[in-house]
Amino acid sequence: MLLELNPLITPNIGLIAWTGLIFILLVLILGKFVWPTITKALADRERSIEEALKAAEAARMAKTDLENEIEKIRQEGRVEREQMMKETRQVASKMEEDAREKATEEYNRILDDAKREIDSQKQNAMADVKNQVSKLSLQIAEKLVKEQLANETAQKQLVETYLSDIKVN
Amino acid sequence: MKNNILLSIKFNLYSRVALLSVLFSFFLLTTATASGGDDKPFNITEMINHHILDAHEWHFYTTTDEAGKEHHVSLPLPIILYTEGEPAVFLSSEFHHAENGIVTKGSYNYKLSHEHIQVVDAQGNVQSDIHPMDFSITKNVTSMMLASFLLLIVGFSIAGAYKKREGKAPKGMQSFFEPIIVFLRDDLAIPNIGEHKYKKYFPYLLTLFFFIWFNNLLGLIPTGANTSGNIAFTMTLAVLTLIITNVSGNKHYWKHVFAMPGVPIPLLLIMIPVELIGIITKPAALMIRLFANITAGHTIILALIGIIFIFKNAILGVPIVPFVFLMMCLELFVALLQAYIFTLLTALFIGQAVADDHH
Repeated sequence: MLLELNPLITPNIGLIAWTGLIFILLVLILGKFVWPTITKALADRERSIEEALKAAEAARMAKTDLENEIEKIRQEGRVEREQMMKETRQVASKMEEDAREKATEEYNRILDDAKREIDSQKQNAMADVKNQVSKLSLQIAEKLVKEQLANETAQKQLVETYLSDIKVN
Repeated sequence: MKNNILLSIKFNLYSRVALLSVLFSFFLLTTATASGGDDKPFNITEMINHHILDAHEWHFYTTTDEAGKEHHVSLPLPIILYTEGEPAVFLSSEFHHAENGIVTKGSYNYKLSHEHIQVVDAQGNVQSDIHPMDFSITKNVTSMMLASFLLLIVGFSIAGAYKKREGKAPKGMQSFFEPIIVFLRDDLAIPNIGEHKYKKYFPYLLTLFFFIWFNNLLGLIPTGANTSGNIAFTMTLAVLTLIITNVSGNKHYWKHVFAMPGVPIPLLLIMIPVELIGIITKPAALMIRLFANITAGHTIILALIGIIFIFKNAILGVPIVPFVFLMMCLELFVALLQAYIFTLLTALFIGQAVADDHH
């Protein structure tokens, strides 16, 4: 037979036995102590990497959310600030107007008072002056009359004058 | 029919052997013309066979003294025999030291003839009716033990690294082997066997891959043994694949063998034998592929080196050494590739046996 002629393709029982024994022992030893450790470590690491990636993604999302939130809050703040500024400006201008109005009123009132005071003072002063003037006039007239009527002629002339006036009427 | 299938399996092997024998005859012809001197003619077939076949000692080199006597420098290996219920254990060097090369142990005389241990009578005549069972720790077994020892060292060291550096990035040897293990898991075991079923077979597949690879690599070292190119070695691994495949076979697998769905009953009479032969031929192809590839690789390298000795001209080393270097590089790749293919096909067969019905 061809198989027995060529030693190259004639399997030897001893080598079969040794190969089987050594290989099965290797499968048992490596399968018990080596491969499970390695495959478990690999699976664990892959899981932890996956989880880390997920966590990173979640963190990234959270960061984006937070940034959006911050932007929103900032926007709101800006709007609110503008609103407040606007209101303040309105209040301020209103206050200013009120103040101006009030001041004008006061001014007018003071002015009126002053005018009235001045008028009354003027009246008083005028009355006073009139009194003085009348007194003085009387005094002057008295003096003049005294002086002019000191002689007889002058007294007669006057009487005549008055008489002439009466005649005219 | 069986012969046809067996022939087709052997075609791969035969084409290589045919090619090599053409090469050899050319070398032998040139030897005849070139070595017409007084030296013993260099027999390349003998040289290649000596390197490729198993041996009972580990031969390193041979020196010739002034008297023309050859001195072999080799490591003697233990011979373990079991003859008709009688064990015998001794070192292979006893054959060289004994008179006429006949070693007497117990009630039998042993003689080593072309690496084949025979039982002889006191005169040295072969007793062909007594067949000693040879369980010797041969060169191949020694090399296999060495490879296994290396694999154990590597395995335990990287497993230790995974324990010690838990959760950290791989380092050193660990980072060399990790991509291979991950590749075997993600691109070999899972696609062929399936996400849920692969775990049970993965330790076996890993051991198979590294065992073949390490043995292939050790065989490439000069003076190394051709362990993974030995038919007994590949046969054992193929038989284990056969056993695992058929033991794991589920009802769909057996239904495909004995009652192929959609095949008319008369045709089943043909299909069942074909399927049954297929059960054997699938692992047989594994056996022959690994054996032929590794043996052919060794043979080509030895043949190229042999050219220098055929022509007895060292200058020939100038063109041949780069060739051998190239072949060695190719063989390094083949060592990995064949380990991968054997494991891949084993995974594929297991996957077919455990697959759920998808028809």
